[in-house]
Amino acid sequence: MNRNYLVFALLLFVSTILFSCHPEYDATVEELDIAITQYDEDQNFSQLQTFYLADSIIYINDEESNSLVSVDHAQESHILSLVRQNFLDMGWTEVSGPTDGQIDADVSIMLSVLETDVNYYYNYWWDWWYWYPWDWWYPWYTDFYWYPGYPVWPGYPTYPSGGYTVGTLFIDMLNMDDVEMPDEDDSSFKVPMPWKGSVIGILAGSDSHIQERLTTEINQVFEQSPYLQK
Amino acid sequence: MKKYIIISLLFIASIAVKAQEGTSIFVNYLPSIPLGETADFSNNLSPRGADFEVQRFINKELSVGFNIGWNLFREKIQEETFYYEGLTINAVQFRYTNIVPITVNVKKYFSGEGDYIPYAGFGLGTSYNEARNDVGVFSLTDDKWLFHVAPEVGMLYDMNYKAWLSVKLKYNYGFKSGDFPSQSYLSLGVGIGLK
Repeated sequence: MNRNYLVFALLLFVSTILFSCHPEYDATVEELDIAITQYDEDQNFSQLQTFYLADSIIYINDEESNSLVSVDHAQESHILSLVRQNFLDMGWTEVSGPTDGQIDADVSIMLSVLETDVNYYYNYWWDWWYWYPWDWWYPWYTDFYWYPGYPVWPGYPTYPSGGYTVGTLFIDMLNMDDVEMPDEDDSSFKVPMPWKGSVIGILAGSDSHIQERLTTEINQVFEQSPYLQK
Repeated sequence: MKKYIIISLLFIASIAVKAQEGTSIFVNYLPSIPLGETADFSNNLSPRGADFEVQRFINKELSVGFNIGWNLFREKIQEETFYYEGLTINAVQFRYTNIVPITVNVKKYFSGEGDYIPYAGFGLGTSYNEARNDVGVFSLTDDKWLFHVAPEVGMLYDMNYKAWLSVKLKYNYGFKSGDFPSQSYLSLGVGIGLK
């Protein structure tokens, strides 16, 4: 036999053996769940004792994204009760709601879910450490009668690469004790975010084990944040 | 990456087959054990590996040649909490290390008994290294070309006037570069050579 044919036959044989078995792992849905948290190391969490939890989840969407993945809205009460219970279990005291348009709690917990993918584009104008009210974009805003629960575009880091995907749940802590009021020539104000938790993509699509996964992942967000313990 | 490896192998093969007499072409299956920092990242025996080699015999005791290889190490890390760029992350990790060494080498052959010819060799060159950590929808990837050395010992069996059988033990080491850690692994090669 011609040596050329032998060489190519050999290469073909070895290549077939090596590449026919797929080298990538097959991950289950649960194995793709990720809990991510980030906190401000300069924040003294012992000074923060009371929390206010808005009674609904904010769904963040983008008209231009046209995401084809549906987000499960049916888990709202389950998520709210899990978050509330975790804060109570860690020794926080809940404050029922805003009075006279202002929050009496040290922190306000804001829950939001992405109905769109978020990529690097948003990083130009998103700020990781502060939350801006919706009215940040509207200079005619002058009134201080507000409370978290309005639609917002909070800031998130784009780490790790790839951005945040549709169905991601964000649990954000706004420090109401340190609200930075606007200067005279600035009609906006901003609120520090000393702690953020997120569960990536968990509400995307439909899954019969969604409640179980939500319980595991939301509890995990708090478990990996021991500095919140009172 | 796999495509490039296959294309490279075929390309080199097409050159190699034009070589003159006194040249042998080897293909080895190369299962490997990760060592050192390669094992720290992806610590599993790798059944996925191969190399392709052209050896030009200067005389009966010495040959010089060219080798290109590929190994994939992978490990699934069960759910754990780790830290990355200021984030605390809890997830299952799927880690992959691809290493493609490209070396020139020299081999010294010893007179064996009958058709068995033991040898010792040393390879010097570079390697492309890619370490990837898949965490859910995220993929944290780092890659680097490293200075690479590869000493080996082995045995050739002279099957007939056309072919060798080859068995070898090869140690691979890629030197640390910048933040990218050194890479090392030990390979057992079994292959065939055409004279």
